[in-house]
This record gives sequence, C-alpha cells and structure tokens, in this order.
Amino acid sequence: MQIRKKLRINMAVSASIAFVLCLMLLHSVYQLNRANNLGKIAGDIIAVTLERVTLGNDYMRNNSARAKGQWFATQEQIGALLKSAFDNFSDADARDSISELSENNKASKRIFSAIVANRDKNGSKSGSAVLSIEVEDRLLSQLNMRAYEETINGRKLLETARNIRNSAVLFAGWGTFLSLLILIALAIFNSMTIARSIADRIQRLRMGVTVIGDGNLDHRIEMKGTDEFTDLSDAFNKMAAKLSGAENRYRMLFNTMMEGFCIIEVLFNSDNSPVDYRFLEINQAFEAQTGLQNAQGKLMRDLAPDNETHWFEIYGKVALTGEAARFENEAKELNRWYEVYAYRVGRPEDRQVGIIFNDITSRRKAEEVLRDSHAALEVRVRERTQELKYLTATLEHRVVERTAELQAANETLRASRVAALNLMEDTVAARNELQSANKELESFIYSVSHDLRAPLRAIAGFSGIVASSCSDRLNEKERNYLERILDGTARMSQLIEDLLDLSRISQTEIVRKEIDLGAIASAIMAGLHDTETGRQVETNIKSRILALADARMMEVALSNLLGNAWKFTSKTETAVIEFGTIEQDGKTIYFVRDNGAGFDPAYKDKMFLPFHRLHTRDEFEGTGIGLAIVERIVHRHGGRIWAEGEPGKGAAIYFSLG
Amino acid sequence: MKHSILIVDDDSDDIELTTLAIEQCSVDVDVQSVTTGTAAFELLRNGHTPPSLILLDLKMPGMSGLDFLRELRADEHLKNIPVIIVTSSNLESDRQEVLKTGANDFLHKTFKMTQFCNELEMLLERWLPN
Repeated sequence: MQIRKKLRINMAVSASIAFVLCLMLLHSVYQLNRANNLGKIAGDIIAVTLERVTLGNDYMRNNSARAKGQWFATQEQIGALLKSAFDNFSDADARDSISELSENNKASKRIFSAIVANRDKNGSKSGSAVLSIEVEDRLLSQLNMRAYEETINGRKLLETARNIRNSAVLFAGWGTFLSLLILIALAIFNSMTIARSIADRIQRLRMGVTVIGDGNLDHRIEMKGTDEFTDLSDAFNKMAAKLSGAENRYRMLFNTMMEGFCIIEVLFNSDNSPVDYRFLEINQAFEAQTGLQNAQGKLMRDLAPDNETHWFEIYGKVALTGEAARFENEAKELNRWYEVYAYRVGRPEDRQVGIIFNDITSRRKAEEVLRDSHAALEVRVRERTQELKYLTATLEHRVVERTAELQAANETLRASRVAALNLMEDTVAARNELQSANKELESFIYSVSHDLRAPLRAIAGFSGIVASSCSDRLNEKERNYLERILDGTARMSQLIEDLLDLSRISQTEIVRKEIDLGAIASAIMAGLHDTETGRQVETNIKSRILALADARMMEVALSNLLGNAWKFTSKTETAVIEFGTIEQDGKTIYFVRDNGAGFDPAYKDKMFLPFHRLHTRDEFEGTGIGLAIVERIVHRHGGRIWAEGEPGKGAAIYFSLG
Repeated sequence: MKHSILIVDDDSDDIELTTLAIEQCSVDVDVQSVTTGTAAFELLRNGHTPPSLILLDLKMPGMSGLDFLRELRADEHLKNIPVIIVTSSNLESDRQEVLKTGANDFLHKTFKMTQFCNELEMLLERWLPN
C-alpha cells in the first residue's frame, strides 16, 4: 500500500476520533446547562415556597388582603416554574419530584383557599371565632406540612440537578480521556509504521544510491512492495543501467583508442605560475605512447624531471583560460614528438586538463630525413648543374666538329644510297623479269607438251595400224624401222607426260589434307603388278603412313619413286620394294627402298636434276624427269629429299614433308 | 537393234584412231562423230534416236568435255546416255572429279594401240546392253 494512502487513512481515523470527542464534550456542556437550569428552578421553587409561607403567616396574622393576593401570586409562580421544569426535564427523578411538587402546590392552594373561605365566612372576630380558629389552625398545619414537603421535593429536584451535572462532568472527563488515549495509541502506531515502512526503506535506498554513487554502476537497489520507494529505486536502477551503458561505451573508447589520453591536474605556485602537473587518469594507450610506467597519481616532474617548461606553460594556460590548445611539440626526455589536443575539464577551480595525444616521432623523423635528403639533393643538383654546364660547353664544341664530320659522311651516304637504290631497282626488275620468264617458260612447256601429244599420238596410232595390218608386206628392215618409229613415239610421249607433270607440279596450288600414303603406295604397287603380271616382287608397305600433304602430288611422287624401284629391280631375281618411315630429330622421314641396280653414290646429287640419268637407255628405260618431279613436290611441301645407294646393292630415296 | 556410238573429240586423228579401234572390236555398232560439244547437242536434239554410248574427249576448244557432260546430265531426255571419258590423264584424282560430274567410265588415250583396243573392247561390252 502506498504511503500517501496510509497517511490519508490515518488522518481520517484521527479526525473521526476528534469529532466524536467534540460531540461528547458538546453533550456534556448541554447536560451541565440543563443541570444548572434545573438547579435554578429548584432553588427558585424553594425560595418561592419559603416566601409563600411567610406570606401565609402574614395573612394569618394580619388578615391582609395584599398578603393573600401575593400568596396566590407565588402559588401561580410556583405552578409556572413547575410547568416549565416539567416541559424541560424528562428525567425520571426530576419528573417524580416535579409531580410531587405540583401535587403539594395544588394542595397548598386548596388549603389556603379553605382558610381564606373560612375567614371570609366568619367575617369579623366574633363568637364563632373560636371554631374558626381551630379550623384555621388545622388548615394551617396542613399548609405548613405541604410547604415542608414542597421544600423537601425542591431539595430532591436540586439533588437531581446535581446528579445530572455530575454525570455530565463524568461523561466529559471519561470521553476526553478515552479520546486522548486512542489518539496517543494511534500516534504511537503511526510512528512505528513510519519507522518500519519509511525509515527502513529510506535507509535501503540511501545505501543503494551510495553504492551506485561510488561508481559501482552495476549495483541494483532491491526494494519489495509497490510503494513510492519501489518506484524511486526502479528509477535509480534504470539511471544506473543507462549510466553503466554510457560509462562502458566511453570506457571502451577510452581504453581502445589508439591515441594516448590523460586527465591532469595542473599545479601552480604562489605566483599562479604552472610548475607541475599530476596524472589523475590515463588510458591504456598512454604507456605505449609515452613510455612512462604507472603514471597514474604521479607528478610529471617526478617522472620526467627535465621535461620542457613549455609543456607546463601550455597546460597551465589551458587550465586557467579554458581555451583548448592544439599543437605539435617535442618531449626530449621521452625522445618523442607529439601531436596534442588539450582542453579544460571539470570546474575551472579544479584546474584539470584533458589531453589527447599521438606519437608522431616516426613521421617527424621521416620529414627530417626527407628534409636532409632534399638538402643533399639540392647540393648534388647544384654540383651536377655545374658539371653539366661544363659538359655542355665541351659538347657544343664536339657537336660542331661532329656535325661537320656527319655532313661529310652524309654526303657519301647519300651517294651510296642512290647507288644502292639503283642497284635494288635493277635487282627487283631482274627478279620480276626472271619470274615472268619462268612463268612463260612453264606455260610454254605445258602447251608445247600438250600440243605435241596429239600429233605424236597420230604418228604412233597410224604407225601401229600399219605395223599390225601391213607387217606381212614389209621386209625385215622395214618392220624394224616401223618398230623404231613406234618406240621413238612411245619414248617421246613418255617424255611429254613427264614434262607435263613437272610443269603441273610448279603451277598447281598445294592443298594439304591428312592422307594415308601407305594406301596410295599399295594402290600404285597393285597397278604395277597388273602391268607386268609375270614378275615376282616382294612388297613391304607399312600400313597407315599418315601425312598432311597434297593427295594428288603425293600420288605423282610415289608413282615415280615406286615406278623407279619397280624398274630398277627388273633384273633382280628376288626383288624387294619397301615403303616405310623412320623418326629422325623428331621428324618423320619417309623412304622407298629397293634391292635393285643401285647407283654410283658419286652422282647422288645429280640424280634429282631433270633429264639426268644414271643408266643408259639400253640398261633401263626412262626420261630422267621422274626424280626431278619428286624433288619439286617434296620442296613444295617444305621438305628435303636425298638418296642412298650402291651399284648392285639397291637404292633408297628418303624424303620429309616439312 | 544395232547400237550406235557418238564420238565427241576436237582432233580428227583421234576420232579416226578411235573409230579404227572400235572396228577392230568384236561388236557391231554404228559410229558417229562430231568435233564440238555444240555440234553434239545439235545432233542429239534433232529428233534422231539417241546413241547407245558417248565417247567424250575432255580437252576441247569452246565447250569443254566437262561443260558438255554437265549440260547432258541436266537434259531430261539425254541424261541417261552412258558417257565414257577418253582422256590422256591417268591420274586417279582426275578420274574421281569427272565421275562426280556424271561420267560413267574412262578410257586412257594410251600410245599403245593394242592396249587401247583391249580397254575399249572391255568398256563396250560393259556399257552396251546386248
């Protein structure tokens, strides 16, 4: 429950008690007032009764009419008083007394009226006076009795009034006493409650706040319940948490920053001049940046007695004026240069300065080195400039000399160049001439060969017909001539075929494709076997001899080579013809070998020249063009060709294809 | 029915030699000859019965043998006539090219008349239906 609520309840209870007390006191006052009134009425009744007795006696003695009238008036007065008392007091005792008084009063009036009637009947004091006196005495004694009783009753009424007053006083006294007692109890109870619920909690709060205030921001105040103290401690806890977060952030920044940081207190002498400073707080980078160990709490003069005065002056100024300073300076004793930012922290009278600084020694040194080397460079540049000036002067002289020499040389060169150009033009012209002459020659050979063939064929054809149809009419000599004509035409046709092949090789473009030379060779050998079925020739052809070459040209080349082998083994008993490959210096070398007539190696280079033959026509037929064709084909493929052989031991032609 | 052979060759000597060679063969045929491709088409398209076989020279002035062959194979009425190329070239690669153009066979113009006659006889037996 909240304290405010408790206090309100407390106040309401107290107010109620006070109200009751007031009511009791008012009641007592009312009762006292009544008692007083009743006492007064009772007093009046007694006084009036006594006065009436006196008036009765007066009447009796003097027979005074005035006394008689006054008696009745007092009797009326008493009646009025009794009526008023009856109306105002309902107390049983008072009512009893009043009733008796009223009865007595009425009886007194009756008796006194009887006395008055008795007197009035006898008139004057005559004979019958004795009787009337007797009656009168009896009535009078009765009247006095009544008066006595009335006095008694008045006394009783007084007693009743006194009782009322007493009980009122008693009531007021006890009421006040009890009320005070309750109030005191309440006050004690409140004090105890406050002591328990407020003072304890205040104490707990104060202790918690003290712990937090001392820097333990992770401390939390524990407060049970739901009152204002709980709210207050929650607020304190939140504040501490926020502070803790902020503190952690700044602590981390403080400790992880690369720059050195410290807070110092600048110490002044009596002239207000800065003489020293004390390190109040330093961060982790401080030691690495300064080399000073355990500086916290120590004086700079103790750590570095020879530290330059400018440091103290600058920090002193910052502490006094509050103007931040940014500068670079050297601390010789620490053997370092620093870049510094200093600013005042806290209250001016604390004279504290925060310093952020960075060791820039390496940069300064680099700058110094740069400055030095710059200076050295300038010196060298000056030296070199001097040298250059000298050299330039020398050079100019030499240039003049050389220019003259060069001009002379140039003249010679120009003349030579003109001569060379002329020569070159001549050469180019000569080459072009040669090329066109070659071309002409080639096409001449081709057309001549071709055109020669037709008439030759006519000669051969018709001679053949003559030879076959008219041979029986010719004599031996004529037949021989005819055969020699046929033979000559056959050789000539072969010569033309070969020449055509040779010129075609020169004129045709090479189209390289992957071909199987083995297959081509096998086909050619089969063809040769067909032309001379009677011969026994052993053929060794390697299967799949792949080459990147022009198929048509390779067919011509192999036809010639194998044809030669076939021809030159015609006189060998067990002829063997081979076509294969060997590897030489990473290159494939193809060869065609036979065990035929062979040749004289002295002429092995001549055998590739056109029309050069190593055997007579009688030995072996031939035009002498076949190997020239083969050589040309090989050369056109970028390859090389050569021959090996000995007379009677066969021949081998080797070639590569580029 | 008697077969007929058309010889297309610019060289009259060659025509005569070929004709003589055909006469020596053991087949009974009529032989006609022209010296140009153009003349050959004139003959072929004049409504006469087409020849059973054509012997064609490749190297002719004007319309060459290959030109003639292409035009013949493109002609709806004449494309089925067998054509034998008579050539002085004996190169296999030349033969392959001409076969692609539509020739049916080859006869080598050899200088040896006996060989020429033998080859011609075998070709006629092959390409002239009995």
